[in-house]
Amino acid sequence: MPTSSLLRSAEQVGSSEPGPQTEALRASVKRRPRWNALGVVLPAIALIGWEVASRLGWLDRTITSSPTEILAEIYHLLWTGQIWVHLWATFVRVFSGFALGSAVAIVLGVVTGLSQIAYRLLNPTIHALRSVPSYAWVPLFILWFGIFETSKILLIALGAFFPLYLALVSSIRSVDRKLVEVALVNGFKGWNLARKIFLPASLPAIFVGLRQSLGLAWMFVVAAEFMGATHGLGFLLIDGQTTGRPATLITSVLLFALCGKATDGCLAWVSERALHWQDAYHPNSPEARSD
Amino acid sequence: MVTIDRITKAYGSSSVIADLRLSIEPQQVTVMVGTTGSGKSTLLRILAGLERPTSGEIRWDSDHRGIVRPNLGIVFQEPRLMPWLNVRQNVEFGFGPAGHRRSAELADEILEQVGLESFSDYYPRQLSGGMAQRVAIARALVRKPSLLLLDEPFSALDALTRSRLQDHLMELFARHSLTMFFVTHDIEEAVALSDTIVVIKGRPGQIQHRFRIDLPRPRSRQDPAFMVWKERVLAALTNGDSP
Ligand SMILES: Nc1ncnc2c1ncn2[C@@H]1O[C@H](COP(=O)(O)OP(=O)(O)O)[C@@H](O)[C@H]1O
Ligand SMILES: [Mg+2]
Repeated sequence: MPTSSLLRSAEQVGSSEPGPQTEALRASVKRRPRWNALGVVLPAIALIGWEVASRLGWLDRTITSSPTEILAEIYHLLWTGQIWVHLWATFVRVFSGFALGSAVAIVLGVVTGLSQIAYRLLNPTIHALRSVPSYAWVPLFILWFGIFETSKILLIALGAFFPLYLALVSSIRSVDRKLVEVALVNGFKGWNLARKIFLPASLPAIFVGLRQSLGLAWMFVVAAEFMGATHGLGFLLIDGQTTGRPATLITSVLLFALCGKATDGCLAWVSERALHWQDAYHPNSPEARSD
Repeated sequence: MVTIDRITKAYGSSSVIADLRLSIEPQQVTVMVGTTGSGKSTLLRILAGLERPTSGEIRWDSDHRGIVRPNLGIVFQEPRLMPWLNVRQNVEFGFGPAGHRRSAELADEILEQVGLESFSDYYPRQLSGGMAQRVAIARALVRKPSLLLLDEPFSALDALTRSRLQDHLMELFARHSLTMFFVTHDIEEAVALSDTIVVIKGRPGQIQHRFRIDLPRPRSRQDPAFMVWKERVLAALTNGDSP
């Protein structure tokens, strides 16, 4: 094939053309975050200091508890199996609320992002609703939907709705006109255009929005479980407070942190794989990537 | 092939091109040269259906069934590849929403013709500017366009890569019997590629000169006749302007 052989030989000449650096490129794609041992030092020192201080009586144990008491509490919760009941109750709420909130956000966000009429019709109202402080909804939701699961899940859904909706609308509306033109010239219209250009182009923003929404779902589940619950990590908090057991309180806070981190980690993992094509700047240092 | 008949385009009160007439001959390279801002891209966008002319019309060739809107391929100044698609998928994008039964196979075939067969699994961020622009050319060619529009496709590339891609484009031109409408501000590029050069000038832009370049191909830039053509086009582009 004369054409390709000509180009292949040309490739060896051209400095801007591929060559040995493509191997380095391939390697850089495969970069994985590394375990950051240094990040553990401060928490470890703090834990040891805490234990020592509470044993020596420098800290009031009835308020601060101690790492070993907390371990004992976790062991107790595990041993009695209660931990799974609480975790399950909270997970179900978070995920139902998150799923509902983000599903509505995707539908409304896509419609509002793609249609100028929908944007002018809906966007001002949604922005006005967003400026209501979230906890102000709590009494209203109790009044409308009762104190049981419905109002809890709706409150979480409300919290999860906004970040994804806002990210989606702004990303769809700022999709590169140049790429849209390529699609138009190639005959893409309507649904095909949305599916092949607008969706993938806003995928990075969708993932950012999803992670923020999930974070807010975890925040709102606390408020929701404060509304009155018999199970759940939020219930554990209230329970620890009313019965004066700081170990229970702190255990609950720890479990919240772990669950939030774990679920966000899952989303981050999915996102990294779905967005592998992104031309993002990854600094080479392990600290910068081991979030 | 295509007749551009008294096309005028204005944005608000600012007129960009006025009363432009031109016909693009089949299986020839028509190059439009003009300074930046003379309305070349605007005309190309009108041809591609991305914009409507304020007045005038584009007439496509008709066959016995009537007017047929041709199968257009377009290459922009930037590669405009979809960053989420790999090289092969970007080329397959040229088949449009309906796709093609053998799209992957045909994409690989055309990638081989642009010398990128071993890069079909790469993503756009892993390509150099010249490679990316070759993918863009492959995407435009994959569905065998009856008219290929090019808007300064090589102007962002270094001189060496540019002249290599020009040669390469001419090989593809011969191989696929293409009809090309090529827009550029680069006079040497215009003389190197064209069968016909039209010079667009002024504000609003109008076609002020037309040359038939009858140099044999492949063309050498050192050929005295080539130099003479460059001088003539340069003179046409600059005459009437104050130095
Ligand atoms: N969408 C637009 N709105 C207003 N003016 C425009 C628009 N597009 C192009 N123009 C104007 O039209 C003129 C010609 O632009 P263009 O066709 O891109 O020129 P060229 O491609 O020859 O450099 C420019 O002066 C530019 O400012
Ligand atoms: Mg232009």
